[in-house]
Amino acid sequence: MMTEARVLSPPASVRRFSFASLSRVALYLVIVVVFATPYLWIAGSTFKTRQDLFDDLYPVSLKTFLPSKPTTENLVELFTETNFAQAVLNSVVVATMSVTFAVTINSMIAFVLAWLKFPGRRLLFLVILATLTIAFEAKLIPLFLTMQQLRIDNTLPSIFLPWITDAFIIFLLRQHFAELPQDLYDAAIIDGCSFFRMYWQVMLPNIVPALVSAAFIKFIFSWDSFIWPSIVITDESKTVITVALAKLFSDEYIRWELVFAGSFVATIPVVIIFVFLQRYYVQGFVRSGLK
Amino acid sequence: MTKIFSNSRDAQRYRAAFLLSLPALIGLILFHYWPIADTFRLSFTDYKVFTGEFTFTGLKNYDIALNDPILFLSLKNTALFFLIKVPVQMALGLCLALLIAKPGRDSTLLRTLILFPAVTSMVVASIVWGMMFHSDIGIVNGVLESFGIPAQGFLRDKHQALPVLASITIWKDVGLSMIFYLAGLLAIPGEYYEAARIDGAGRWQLFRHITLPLLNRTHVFVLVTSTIAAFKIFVPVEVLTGGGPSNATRVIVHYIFHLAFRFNRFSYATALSVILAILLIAISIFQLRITRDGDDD
Repeated sequence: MMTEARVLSPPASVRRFSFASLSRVALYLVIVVVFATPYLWIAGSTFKTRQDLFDDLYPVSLKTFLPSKPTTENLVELFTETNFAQAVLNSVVVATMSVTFAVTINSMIAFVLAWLKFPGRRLLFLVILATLTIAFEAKLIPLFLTMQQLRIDNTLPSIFLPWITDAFIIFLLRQHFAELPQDLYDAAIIDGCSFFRMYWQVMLPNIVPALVSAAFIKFIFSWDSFIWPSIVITDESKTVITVALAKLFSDEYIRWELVFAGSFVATIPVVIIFVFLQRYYVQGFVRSGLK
Repeated sequence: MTKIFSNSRDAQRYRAAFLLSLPALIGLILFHYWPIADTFRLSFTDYKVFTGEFTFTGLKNYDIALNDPILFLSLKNTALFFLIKVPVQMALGLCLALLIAKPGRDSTLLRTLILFPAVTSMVVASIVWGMMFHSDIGIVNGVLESFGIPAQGFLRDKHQALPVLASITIWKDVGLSMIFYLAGLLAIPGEYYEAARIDGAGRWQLFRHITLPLLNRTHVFVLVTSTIAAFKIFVPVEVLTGGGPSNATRVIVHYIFHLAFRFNRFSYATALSVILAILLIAISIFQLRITRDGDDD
């Protein structure tokens, strides 16, 4: 039996080196080059001197991506001679606040929509979902004027306040709340559990993966946001990382080495977090996208 | 007795529910419904920079819009951008999903890598690809030259700029399309393929007659969401081309943004915002309709 299997197996292993698998390897290689090169280039160039950066550009070789004499002077300069450190801090504060408030507030209403039977709850849900059909770009001007009227323009809260309530997150969390078993609800009612404790102690702990999805997606949204902060913030000390980067890039005399270092700081930590949280990220989109 | 008890419990429950919903409801009204209504209202006014007042002018802004050549140019460029981006992104998303659908170590690694751009900010994506496509110091031209191909203008060439911007956004967005297609693929029952294979269907026939039609819902979802995203293209234009060269990348959101926040033409910009919002809703409904018609066949 054993020998027979061995005799039969060689064709399979020969096929491994066939044209089909060779083209598969080539395809993988192309994908890796297209998707990894920008990151390698950012990371490599961040640790090069300006001189090396330009010397290593042509001809394109391994040297273009690997610093021969690694230096941290770009990062040091970025953090000491520009206001980039402040921008990073602002982005972290804004993202943290945004995520905390968004997960709290949207999960509360999502729970009510899933578990309180009241007249018009379908209508309310639809009215909330309807906000998804209007592009946020179409309401920037009144939002900006509202911020001025509330006298909170040019402050960090003005960056995240308008985006806390998020129909996408309400939808995602409502689906998860609604899927929890009726028994859970009934048992808690028999125990005399109040509606608020039902939310906080009974239901919420059961949808933690969905909360992580919502939090991470909101974090990415906040970290990536560019249009709104560039409108509502005029004070340099309150700028965020994306706006600070775009500014570095638009200077008359572009400091390429600092642009790379800034891109590195803006990107690499998020990508590393993503490697660990990608399951939640993907689930968040897939679960809400196809239902 | 029990009746009263249950009523007071109900009252308590409704009160708690109201308090739980209140913050989100305030946010929805203040930052979603009110601005939408206000956009509409402001589009019928004229904004005076010096007094900061909005005076009612009826349909004047819409009248101006109808005779605004730059508006039509930006709509044309936006449509062109959509036509370049969406079909390529959908096709690539589907191909990548098929490639990594087989579970395994290399599939997981590829999926992670292809999703990196999704969590990279658009500003960084624009900057890094802008530098790679730089006509003087970019490594893309470096690679082309080493193959004996002359250096290209890319973002400085009025015929290449828009396709280059489209490629950058495809690179950034294709991962999510792939994820949706992957979810769609995994939802197709394996028995369908087995049955068809017993009937002697080849790989292409399996793809053509099982995979593609059963992905219909996914096609619609990816089509509608990526179309809306394409029509809202802004960041790469703002960061890389500023609408140039010679207006080749002037697109609608960029035009509205500059009218409002660079030239203080708030009222006219809101009228264009209303046009954009209606256009996007119309396109979504149209796409849903024609794809649903296809469903009936």
